Amino acid sequence: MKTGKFEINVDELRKGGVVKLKDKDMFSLWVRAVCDNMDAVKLRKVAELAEKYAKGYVLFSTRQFPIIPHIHFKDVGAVKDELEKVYVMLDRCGTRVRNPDVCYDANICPYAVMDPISMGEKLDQFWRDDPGGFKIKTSIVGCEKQCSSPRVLADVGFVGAKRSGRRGFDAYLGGKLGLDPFLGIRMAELLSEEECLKFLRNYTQFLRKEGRANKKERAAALIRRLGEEVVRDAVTHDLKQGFSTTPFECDTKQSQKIDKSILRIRATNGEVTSKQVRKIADIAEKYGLGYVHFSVRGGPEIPGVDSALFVEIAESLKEAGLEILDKGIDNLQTCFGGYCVNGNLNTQPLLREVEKIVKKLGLNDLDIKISASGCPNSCGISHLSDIGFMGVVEPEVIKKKCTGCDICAKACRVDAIKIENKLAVIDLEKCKNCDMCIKACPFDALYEKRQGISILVGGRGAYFMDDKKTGVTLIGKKLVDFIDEKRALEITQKILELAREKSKTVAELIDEMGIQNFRSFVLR
Amino acid sequence: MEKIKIDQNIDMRGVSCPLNYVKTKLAIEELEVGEVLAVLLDDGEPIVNVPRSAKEDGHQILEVNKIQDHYQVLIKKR
Ligand code: SF4
Ligand code: SF4
Repeated sequence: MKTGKFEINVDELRKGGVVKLKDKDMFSLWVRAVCDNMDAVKLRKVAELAEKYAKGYVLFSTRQFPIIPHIHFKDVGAVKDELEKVYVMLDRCGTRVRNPDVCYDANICPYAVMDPISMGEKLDQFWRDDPGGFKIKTSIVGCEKQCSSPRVLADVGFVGAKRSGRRGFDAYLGGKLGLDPFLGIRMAELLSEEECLKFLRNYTQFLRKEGRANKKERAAALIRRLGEEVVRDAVTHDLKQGFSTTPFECDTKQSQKIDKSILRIRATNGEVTSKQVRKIADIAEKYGLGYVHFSVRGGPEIPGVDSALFVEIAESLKEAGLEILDKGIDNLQTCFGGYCVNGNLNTQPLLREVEKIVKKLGLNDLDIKISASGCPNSCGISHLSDIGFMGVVEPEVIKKKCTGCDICAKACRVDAIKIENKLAVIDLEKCKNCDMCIKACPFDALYEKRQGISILVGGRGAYFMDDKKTGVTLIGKKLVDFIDEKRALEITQKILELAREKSKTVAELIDEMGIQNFRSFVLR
Repeated sequence: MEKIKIDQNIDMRGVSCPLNYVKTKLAIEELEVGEVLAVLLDDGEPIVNVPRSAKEDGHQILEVNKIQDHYQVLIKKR
């Protein structure tokens, strides 16, 4: 299509992977990383395109693939073409089937009891064959440490497990974060790969039959509406029959055991400059297996590195202003934050301030996780962190401007708005403070009565460090609402001081003190 | 309410997000400042997203009219 100003192949947008940002005409491109890995050659291309068309940096996102932010509307097609030259496609977004997420190859991770890559390849093919048409996230982990948190970050999560001498995948259903988070329910145990595929097929069929498309219902909503037992019956029938596909080969798959370490790199806010990306690619080629893994927390990971060489690598990383993630706390991760169309909080500067506090306190506990999300949708996995920030807003109707058009009610995902006598009425009990209604109102008849930061505490996506807690996933509890940045930082410091003094994670502190005592202590 | 003069019409029914927004945007590009575009949009995601994006681009939404199972949105270029 040609117009006076823009030339764009609109078909490019149809497949997804192109997501609007806050600044006018600016988009981000979601780049596909098969099996959540990307080789050095492709990675360098992504870095080059970020420099050529965007702001010269790449995001290592919670979604486990790289994102190039700030690409102008008119350049989207060109970037896509250039990516295709190195066989890189865009990932999917919106109401679409998402690519399966995985942790590590069983040949790399010593804890794996099942192979996530082998299962991932089959899932990948499963979705290639399926017509899709709805949103579904799938995630696979090799063991119950659950590194990529499939119980909450995926509608369907397969978790490798070993019980009484048998191995298989436990199948969880319903996981989601967002406005009302849901911890996936274990629907079946110790399944084979074929049984997992059958489980998934059952679920997609059930969703097509029972799911309310207009409400964009996903697994959690189905379980809430129909009850656990009804859904369980539907998804577990005839599992023994199995279901097979010819797997799509993941190009980073390892054919033999790699008895080496995984090198993690710090990337606060998941932001990595193109120069740094090239450095990481070089290191992956020279010291690792030639590829990089995208983890949920956003720190780039290079598998297959001899730990005796870490000191040498650290020197090399330093040249690009990078450091190994082996001290301080775990990578500080955020969503799009300040540049998301839905964001209400500039998360990136907030986390830079938090980083200063961490350095000042000299905290050295990698098991402590902090993240921030621009809104309660929690794309920055605030609910899964010891300390999770979220931007919140309280909406109010300006009566004389409201036309009763109903658009705000449609925008609200928790049904908190009703139209009464041609006027929007908000039920603040139900409201989750996400701001979608305000942004959607075409007539500016809603405004932010209050705005601020909400802090969640005690969340836990994965228990990697603590063997006793294997298999546990915790959704963070709300500590305070509508505070300003200064207060949020004070409270953060208080919590971190306490964690350091007692040498415990926030979840453990809450367990020990009770949420009430914990709250009054840290808010004092 | 007095009748608003429509300068251009586009039908975005059956066109999904974000394509409907992009096409709407291209149509607005062709207008002069002050002119009005009438867009037909499906219920659900499109009616929530497209007026919002037009508003965020700085244009003014004059009217949202429900017509059977879809909507007509009048956007004034600014
Ligand atoms: S979207 Fe705006 S004008 Fe329409 S009902 Fe809601 S508050 Fe009123
Ligand atoms: S009423 Fe508005 S702010 Fe509250 S949950 Fe609904 S869309 Fe979000």
